[in-house]
Amino acid sequence: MFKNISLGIYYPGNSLLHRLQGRTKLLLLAWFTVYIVIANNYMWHFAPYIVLAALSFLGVVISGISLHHVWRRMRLLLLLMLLGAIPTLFTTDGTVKPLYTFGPFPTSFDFIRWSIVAYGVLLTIYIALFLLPIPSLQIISLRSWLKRFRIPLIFITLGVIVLLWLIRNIPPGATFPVGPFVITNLGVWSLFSLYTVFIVLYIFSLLLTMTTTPIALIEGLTMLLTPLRWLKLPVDDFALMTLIALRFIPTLIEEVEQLLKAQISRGADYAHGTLRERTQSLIALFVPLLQGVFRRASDLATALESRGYEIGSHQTRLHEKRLGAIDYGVLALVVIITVGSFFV
Amino acid sequence: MTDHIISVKNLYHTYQSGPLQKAALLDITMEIERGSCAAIIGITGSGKSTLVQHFNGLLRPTSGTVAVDGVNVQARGGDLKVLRQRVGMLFQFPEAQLFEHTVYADVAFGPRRLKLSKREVRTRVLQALETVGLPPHTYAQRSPFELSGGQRRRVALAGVLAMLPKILVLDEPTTGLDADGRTEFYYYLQRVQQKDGVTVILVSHDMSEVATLADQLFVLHNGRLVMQGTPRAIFGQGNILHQWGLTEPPLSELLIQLHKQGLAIPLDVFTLEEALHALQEIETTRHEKENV
Repeated sequence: MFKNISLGIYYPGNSLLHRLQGRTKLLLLAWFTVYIVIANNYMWHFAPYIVLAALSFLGVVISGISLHHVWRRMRLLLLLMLLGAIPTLFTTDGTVKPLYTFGPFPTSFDFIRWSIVAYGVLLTIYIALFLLPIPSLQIISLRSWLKRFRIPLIFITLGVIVLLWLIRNIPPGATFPVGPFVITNLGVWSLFSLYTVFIVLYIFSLLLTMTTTPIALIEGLTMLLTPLRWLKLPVDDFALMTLIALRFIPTLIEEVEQLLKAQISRGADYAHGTLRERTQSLIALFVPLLQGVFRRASDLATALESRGYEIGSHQTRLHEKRLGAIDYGVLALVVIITVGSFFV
Repeated sequence: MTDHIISVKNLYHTYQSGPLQKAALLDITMEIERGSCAAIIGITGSGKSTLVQHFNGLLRPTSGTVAVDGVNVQARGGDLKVLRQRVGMLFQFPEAQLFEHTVYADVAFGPRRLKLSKREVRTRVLQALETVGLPPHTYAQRSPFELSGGQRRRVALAGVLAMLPKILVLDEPTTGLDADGRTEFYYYLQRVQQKDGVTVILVSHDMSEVATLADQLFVLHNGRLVMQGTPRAIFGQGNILHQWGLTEPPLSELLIQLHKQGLAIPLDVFTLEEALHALQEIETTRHEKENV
C-alpha cells in the first residue's frame, strides 16, 4: 500500500554528484538562483541561459540517473508550464512595438451555438458507450480508456451550461471579435527566460534530492546555518529534531503497514463498509499507532539523556566532514563558467 | 488421499520500492495438510513473513498460484474478504494491536465486523477468551493495557480465534515472552489445534519450539524453499541446518555430540522423554553385555 510513497527520491549511486557534499550542492543551487536573477536583467543576452542549460544537462549525465526517470518526474511540470505559456506569450506593457499581430477574428454566436450542439451529440455518444450494455463494447480496456475522460467531461459540461445561460438573450445574427492577438518582443523574451529558468532550477533541485540522502541534506543545511548560532538560534537542536523526524519516517511507515495488516487480518476494512465501520477501523489503526509513537519517543528521550544530551548545548560531530578537493574544484569551476558567461 | 488446505505452486514475489526491486520469494512450491501444524523456519530476511502473508491475501503473488482452502489468491481481483475470515493471522508483537477499553470489546472487534447477532458475538468472544486461558468473568471487563505481556498476547490470539478461522498463521508468536509466557502460549495454541482442528502455521527461528510442535518443517533460505520434511527427518540428519544459518534444537545437538563420541544413539529423537528412553535402552544393553 505504501510502496508508492518514495521518501525523498534518493537514487543510490557513486557518481561525481553523489560524492559531492550536501552543503556544496546546496551552495551551488543557491548560487544558480542568484545567477539567474542577475542574468534576467540582461535582455536578449543568451549566454547565461545556454550555460545553465548545458550545466543542467551535464549534471543529469554525470549523475548516472537514467534520462527516463528524470523525464518521468518532469513531464507534469512541463505540461503545466505549457498551459501557462500561452498568456505569457501575449504579455505586453503597451509601449514596445509589436512583433507580430493577428486577428481580430469576427465570431458569430451561431458558431458557438452549433459547437454546443456538436458537443451535446458527442456527449450522448459517450454516455451511450459507457452506460448501455452493448456487448462488443464490454472490453475492459475500452472502458477504462473512456473512464479517464469522465471528470474532464463533467467540468466541460458544467462550463457549457454556464455559457448557454450567458448567451441566452443574444440574437442569433450577432457577432463579436476575438483578438487581436499581439506578440511582442517582451512576451517572447519572458516566455523564453521564464521557461528556461523554471526547467533548469527544477532539474537542479531534482538532481540535489536524487543524489543526496535526506540526512546528508539536513546535515549540509545545518552546517550552512551555523552562523545563526551567533544570534542565539537553536541550530543544533533544530538539526537533531529534523534528523530524528527524518529517521523515524520509514520506521513509522513500517509500523503503520504492520498495524494495517494486523487489523485487516482481524476483519478491519478500510475501503468498504459504512462510515461508522470505517471510522472504527481507523480508530483501530490510530490508537495503537499513537501509543507506539509515544512509547518510542519516550524511549528515545531516555536514551538521549542517558548519553548526556543537553538542550542548548554545543554539539560537535563524530565525523567532521571537511570540503574535499572535488567540492572546491566543482564550486570554483561553476563560478568561473557562470561569471564568464556574462562577458561573452 | 491427503487433503491439502494450502497449496502453493511456483510462487514468486518481488518487492518494488521506487527504483529498487527486491526478489523476496523464488519459485516456492509447497503443500500443507489440513489439520496439521506446519512450521516455516529460516533466518531473518529469508522470506518467511512474505510467504505467509500470501496465505490470507495481504500480499499477492508476482507470479505463480496460491490456493488456500479452495480460494485462489491471484495477482489481481478476486474476493479476499472470505479468505481473511478463514485465515487468522497473528503478527509479531501482536499485543501492540490492542486498542479498545476492555478485553471484551477488543476481542469482539473482528466478530462484530462479520455482521453476526449480538448473542453470537458474545458466545464467540467468551469462548475465545476461555480457550486462551483468560476466564471471562475475571478478564473480560479489564483494560488490556493493565495485563502482563503474555496475557496481552493471548488477548490478541483470542481476537483472531473469535473469527473462527480454519487456518491460524502465527509470525514468531513468542519473541519477547519469558519462559513461562512461552509455555503457556504454546499450551493454549496446541489446545486450539486439537480441539477445533485448526491448521496452524508457525513462523519461527526457535528450533526447540518447532521441534515439539510441528508435523512438517519448511526451511527457507534467501527466498527459496531449500528443505522440507518432518522434524524427525530434518533434525535426524545431523548438522545439516548450519549451512542456512540455523541451529538444531539443543537436545538434537547434544545427541549429535554423543553420536560423534561413539554412542549408538539414534538422532531422530527430539523430546526429552524419548531421549531418556533411548539412553536407558543403551544402558540396559550395555549391562546385558557386561553380564554375559
